[in-house]
Amino acid sequence: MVAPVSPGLDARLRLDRAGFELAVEVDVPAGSTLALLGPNGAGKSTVVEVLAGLVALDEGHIRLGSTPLDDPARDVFVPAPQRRMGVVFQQYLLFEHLDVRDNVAFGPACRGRSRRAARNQVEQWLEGFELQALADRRPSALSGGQAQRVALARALAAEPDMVLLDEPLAAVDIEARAGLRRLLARHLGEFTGPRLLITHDPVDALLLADQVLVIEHGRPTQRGSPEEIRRHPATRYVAALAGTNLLTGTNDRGHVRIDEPAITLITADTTISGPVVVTIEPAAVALHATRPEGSPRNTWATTVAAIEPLGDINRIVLDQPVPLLADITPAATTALELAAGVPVWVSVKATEVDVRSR
Amino acid sequence: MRSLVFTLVLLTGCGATSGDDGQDHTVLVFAAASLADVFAEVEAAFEAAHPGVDVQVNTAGSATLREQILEGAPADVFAPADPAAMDPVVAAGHTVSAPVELARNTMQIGVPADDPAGVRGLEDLARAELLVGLCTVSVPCGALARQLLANAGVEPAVDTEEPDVGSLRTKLAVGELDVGIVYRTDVIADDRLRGVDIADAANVVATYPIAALRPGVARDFVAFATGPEGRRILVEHGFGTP
Amino acid sequence: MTSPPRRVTGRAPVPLVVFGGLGALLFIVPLVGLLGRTPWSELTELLSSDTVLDALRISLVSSVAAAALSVVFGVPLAWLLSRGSFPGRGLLRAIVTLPMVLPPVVGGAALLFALGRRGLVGEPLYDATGLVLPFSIWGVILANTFVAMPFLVISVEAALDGIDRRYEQAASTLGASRSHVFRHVTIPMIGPALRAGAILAWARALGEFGATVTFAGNLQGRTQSLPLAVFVTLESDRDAAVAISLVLVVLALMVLLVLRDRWWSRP
Repeated sequence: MVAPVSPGLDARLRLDRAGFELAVEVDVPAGSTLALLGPNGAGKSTVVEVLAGLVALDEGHIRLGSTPLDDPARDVFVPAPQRRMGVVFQQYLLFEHLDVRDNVAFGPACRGRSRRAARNQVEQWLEGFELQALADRRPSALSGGQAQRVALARALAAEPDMVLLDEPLAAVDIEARAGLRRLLARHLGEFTGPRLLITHDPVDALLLADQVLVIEHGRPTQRGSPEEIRRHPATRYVAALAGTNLLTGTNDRGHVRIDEPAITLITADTTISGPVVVTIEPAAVALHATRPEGSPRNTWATTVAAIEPLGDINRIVLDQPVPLLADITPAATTALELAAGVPVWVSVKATEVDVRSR
Repeated sequence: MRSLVFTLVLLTGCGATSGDDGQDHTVLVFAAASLADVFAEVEAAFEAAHPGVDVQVNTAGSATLREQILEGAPADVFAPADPAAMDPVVAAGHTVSAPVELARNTMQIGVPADDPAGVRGLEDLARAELLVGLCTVSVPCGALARQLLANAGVEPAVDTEEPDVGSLRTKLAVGELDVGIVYRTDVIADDRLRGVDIADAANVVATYPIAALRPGVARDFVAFATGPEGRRILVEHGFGTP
Repeated sequence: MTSPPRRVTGRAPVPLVVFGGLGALLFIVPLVGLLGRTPWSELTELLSSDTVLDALRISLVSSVAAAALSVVFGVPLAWLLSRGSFPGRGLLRAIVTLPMVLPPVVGGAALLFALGRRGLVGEPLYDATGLVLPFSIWGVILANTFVAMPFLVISVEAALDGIDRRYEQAASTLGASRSHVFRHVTIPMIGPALRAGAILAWARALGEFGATVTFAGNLQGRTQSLPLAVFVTLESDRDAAVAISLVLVVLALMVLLVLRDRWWSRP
C-alpha cells in the first residue's frame, strides 16, 4: 500500500533581488502552522510573494503536496492564479469598489462557480466570520478588525490548498486583537492544509503556531517550537523577540492563577479579568541570594537550570516550580555565584507582571 | 481660420502700423483666397520698389475678411473677390477712397490632373457617384458657382462646401475630390489641377474691387496693384483686367 | 440653531485672489459677450431651422461616437503605454499626444493624406472596398476621435500608473486570470479617471472644427456639425451664428455641470 503524499509545503527558496539574497527552506506539514519571525527587511514578505507566485525563484523549488509550483531547473512555474494559495495581506487589500459580500465572493466568482453554488458558499463564510450584518458595507466603512475578518474570509472562501498570513493582527487595535486571535486560531485549526503565519508578536507565535522559523537577512537563524525558541534563542534578535516569559492563566482581581505550573502570581493590573496571557520581561525578574524583604509580592525559591551568555547580559534559565528566564549582568551573575544547580530566590514586582486578554 | 489666428497675432504683436512715428513701414493687406498666389508676387514687387516697407498679405474667404474688418481688424488694404463683400465696408466708412476694380476672373470646372472621373462639362457635377466640391455660398467663389450652375440648369450633387476656395483647390489637387468649380486663375496656378471650360453663356465674371482703408502707403499699394506693373502680374496669373 | 463654523484660517492670500479672479474673467467675459449679442426674441425661430437641427444631430452623434471609440481603443492603448515594456514606448506616447499640440487643421490634413481616397491607407481601402471616409459622417467621427482620444489616453494612463498594483496581485492570488483582473479590479479602480477622460474627450470632440472641416468637409445635414455651422453662418447671418454658439455652450455646460461632481469625485 502506498502511503499518501502529505499535502504539505516543501520549499527550498533561493532568490537574489537587487543585492538582497533569500536562502531558506520552508517546510510546513499539512494541518500545522509555521510562524515566520524576523526583523524588518529580513525577507518575510518576499517569502510570501515567492510562495504566492508573485515572484519567481532563481533556484530551488516549491512543492505543495506532489504538485510542483516553481522549479527553475525543470522550467516549471505555476502562475499565481493557479496556485491555490490563500493570502491575507498586511494591508488587507480589500477591493474598495465591492461590498463585503462581493469581496468574499471574489475567489469563487473568478473560479467560475455557478451562481447558486458561489452564493451559498459565500453565505457560509460570512456566517463563520460573523460578517452577515456587514455584508452590504464597503471596505471604507469597516473598522480594522472587521476588515481583517473580511480579508480572512475572502482568502478562505477561495478554497486554497495553503494559507499565507502576512502580519494578520498588526494593524488591529488592542481591544480587537484578542478576539481576532481567537477567531484566527479556530479557523486555522479547521484548515487542513499547511499554514504560514508572519508575525512580530511572540504571543501570536505562542498561541497560533506549532513551529517557528526565524529569518534574518534572508537566511534562517533558528527553527523550532515556540518553547525551544524562547528557551534557547540563537541570536540577539531572537532573544529579544521571543525571550519574553510567557504564561497562560486566569486573572481574578489581580490574582492570576497560572495554568501551568499551578501557581498564583500577583499582578498590579486588575482591569482585565478572565483568561489572560502573562508576560514577564526577563529583565524584570530579580534574583537574590536570600529571601528578599520589602515590596515584591511574587517571591519563591528555585534553582538555576542553565546559564546562557548573550554578550552583555546573561540569560539565566530557572528551574521548577516556575521555569522563567531572567536577564542579569555578568557582574551580578558572579556576585550571586550562579551556576547550574545553584539555589536562588526569585522576585517579580506585581507591576512587572503584564496581563493581556486571551 | 488661419486668418483669424493671423489677425490675433497682429493685434497683439506688431503695432508698427502707420501713425506711430509719422512713417509708414507696413501694409497689411486683406485679400481674397483666390488672390493668394498673385498677391505674393505683387507683394515682392512692391517691396522691391519701396524699400523699407513691409507688405503682409492675409488671405481668407472674402466674407471672413469682411467680418474682421467690420469688427475692427487693422487692415490697410481690402481686396475681396466680390463687390458684395466690399460694399458693407464702404458703407461703414472704413475706406479712405472709393474702391476701384482690380481684376476680373471667370470660373472653371476644376478636376485633378489625371481626371479620374472623366469630367466633360457642368452636367458631370450632378453625378452622385462623384465627390463634388463647391465653396460655401457666403464666399464669392461659392455664390458665383451656384449662380452659373443655375444658369446651366444643373442640380449639383454636392459633397462638401469648403469655407474658402484655397481648401477646395487643395482637395481637388490631391485627388480627394473629383470635381469642383474654382476660378480660372486657380487652375492656371496649380499644375496638379486641370480645367474644363464652361460655356461663356453660362459662365459668370467675378470682379475684384480693391480699396485703401488707411491713408499713406496703403494708397500707394492700391495704385501699384492697379497700375501697369500690377496689371502685368495679374495677367500673367490668368486674371482679366478692366 | 447652530452658527456656521468660525473661521480658523485667515482670508485667502491677495495675489491668489487677484490672479485667480483674472483667470476666471478670461472665461466669464466672452461668455457674457456672447449672451449680450444673443437675439433673444428670435431665438426659437432661429434654433428651429433645419440648419441648426441638422448640425445638432450631427454634433451629438459624432461627439458621442468619438467618445465611445476613444474608450474602446484608448483604454487598451493606455494600458500598453502604462504596463507595456516594448522598445519605442516613449516615442509612441509622444505620437499619441501629438494631436493635442498640433493645430487641428494640420491633424485634419494628416488624416486626409492617410485615410483620404488617395491616401496611404485610404487608397487601398477604397480600391478594395469602395469605402470613402472623408465627406461622410464617418469622416466627422474619425476626425473627432483623432483629436479627442489623447485626452482619454492621458487620463487613463496616469490612473493606471497610480493605482496600487498590490490589489491586482491580491486578485490574482484569489484565482483571477489577467483578463479577469483587468475587467473586475483594474478598470473599476480607475473608474473616476476613466469617466473624466471620457467626458473630456466628448467635450473636445463636440468643439472640434479644424480637423473636421479639413478631413470631412462641410455639408449641411451630412457633415456640418455645430462648430462648422457657426463658422459658416458667421459670414452671412450673425444672429444665427450667435444662436448656434449658444446651443453649443448650453449643451456643453449642461453636461459638464451635471456630471462633474457625480462622476469626477466619487471613488
